[in-house]
Amino acid sequence: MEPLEVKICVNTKCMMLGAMDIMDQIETLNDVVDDLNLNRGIEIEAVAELGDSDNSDKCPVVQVGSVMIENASTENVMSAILDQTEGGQYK
Amino acid sequence: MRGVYTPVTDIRRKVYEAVARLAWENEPDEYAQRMEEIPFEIIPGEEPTYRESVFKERAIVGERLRLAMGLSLYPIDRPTPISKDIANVSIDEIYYEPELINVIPFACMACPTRTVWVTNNCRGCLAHPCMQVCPKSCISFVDGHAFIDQDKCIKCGRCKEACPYNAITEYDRPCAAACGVDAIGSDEKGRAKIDHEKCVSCGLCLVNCPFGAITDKSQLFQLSLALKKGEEIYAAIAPAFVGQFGPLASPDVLMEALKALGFKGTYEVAIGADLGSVEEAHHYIDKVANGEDKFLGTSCCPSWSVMAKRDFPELADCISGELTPMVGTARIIKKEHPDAKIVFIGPCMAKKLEALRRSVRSDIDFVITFEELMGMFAAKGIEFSDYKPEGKLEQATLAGRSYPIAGNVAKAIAANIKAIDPEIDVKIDSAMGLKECKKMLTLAKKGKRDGYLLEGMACPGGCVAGAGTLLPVNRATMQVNKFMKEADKSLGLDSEYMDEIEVMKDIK
Repeated sequence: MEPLEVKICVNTKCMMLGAMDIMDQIETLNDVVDDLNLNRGIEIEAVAELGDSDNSDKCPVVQVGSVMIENASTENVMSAILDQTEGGQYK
Repeated sequence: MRGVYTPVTDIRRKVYEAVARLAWENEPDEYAQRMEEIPFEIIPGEEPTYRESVFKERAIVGERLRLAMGLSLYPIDRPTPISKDIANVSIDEIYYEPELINVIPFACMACPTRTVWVTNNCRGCLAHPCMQVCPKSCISFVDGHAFIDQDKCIKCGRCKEACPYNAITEYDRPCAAACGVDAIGSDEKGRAKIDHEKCVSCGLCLVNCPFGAITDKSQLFQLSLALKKGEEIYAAIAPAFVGQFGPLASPDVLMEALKALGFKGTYEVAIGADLGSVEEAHHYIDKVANGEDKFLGTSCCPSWSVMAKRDFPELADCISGELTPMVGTARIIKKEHPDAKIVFIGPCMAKKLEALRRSVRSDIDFVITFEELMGMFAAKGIEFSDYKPEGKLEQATLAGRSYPIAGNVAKAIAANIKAIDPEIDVKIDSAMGLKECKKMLTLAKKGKRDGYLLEGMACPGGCVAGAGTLLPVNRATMQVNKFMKEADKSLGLDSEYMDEIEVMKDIK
């Protein structure tokens, strides 16, 4: 299965509001990959703009697969990731 | 909580952005009105999010706003507008009234002080080793479970270690646990109160309080006003800056973004670190290697050096009196641009006080943190992706750039010593976190660190873990490591600013 693409906007407002903390938490998901029982890998990309990220009320913006998340937090991003990766044999 | 973006961080950063915006977008006659409005913008709606009342949430933001503008806490038992004394701080130069680090009393939840406690994991086991190991006999069985008599408990933690169910836990106030100098006590209501005689302003209580009840004063309002006036201002950026503003803000792009904010130019504080590493190498060779001084303690971390000189007065002469990288760099900028104002941009709260210290002319006009600078970028709508590098930031060596990672300051100094005199065997010890620093100095006091080069860092991990940073510590460390290796030269001795080393000797 293709890895799941996670795009994280790192424009000024998204950065200020914690984009790198989200990235850090997602990257370290690899440490608990056995417990999570994922069916595919995760590929993380930092991008300069994403969706409505120029509207500061919506930052941080993260895209998980085809799902766009506004006001992203580690909580809602991880939940979207698990929705699209759970239940397989990926190692 | 470091490396996790919490609502506490969120509010803090939004306040910084609001303050910078206030300076840039509003006129003085609008400040008071805007200060009333900003808490409603940061905490909108009628329902509280985290506390019992939305009014209290806004009042706390009001206090944070005041402190971020350089004002002091305002009395909550008298009718007082948030903007009280606003005229005093609406200036384009530094404004400071003590204290730097403040507990907002009504935001503090009066967490219990350090306690060893039996949780409901206790099985009331037959063996109950907890009781056997307690030197004060303060554990008894109540309702079939272990119970600690808190009046007798000395918090030695032996019961906790002995319990096979991990049923005994020790907790402390996060602020007090983070404080390496025991500066956090309690007021009459049990709320955290900082003993400013003991506090060395490292800021670790502030970033560790889960209720965001502690905050420091900022100079970003006054700096923004100075930039707005178009004054000649140079940025001296601490070597921990790399990566702090995200993957789009490479060091060269960051220089352009700082110009867009109104800075005339940027200098790496790693220049001063390079020269400092040379001065301290000579100091070690001249005084320590020959046994004249017991040891040499590094100078660059202000919380460490203030603590060391104050709490170990008999060792004060062994702590380097060399100028810090911040001051050294400022002196160099001042030589090249005598009329300019200089802003130190760094990860550190304690530098705000170092710059004000009267014993050393710092040549620094403002000190702000990376987090505060990010608020300024956001307020001005500066996007790093809009800028192309026009020059290359290549002023410092690997040695100076390595300073923000714990352990590297001593290594940089030792590398110079080796280069000057390969015969000298440099013994090094380093400590991070002020508790560990104190242990190291206690050993030194007993004569067990004679002949050593001692590096102290208040923040665990070094400056990359400073209280004013934006990036998770591991990422920041990686970024600094990468940037270090981009330097053409590796030793402080090879610095292209070696001709300027005289500035480091002009202590006053």
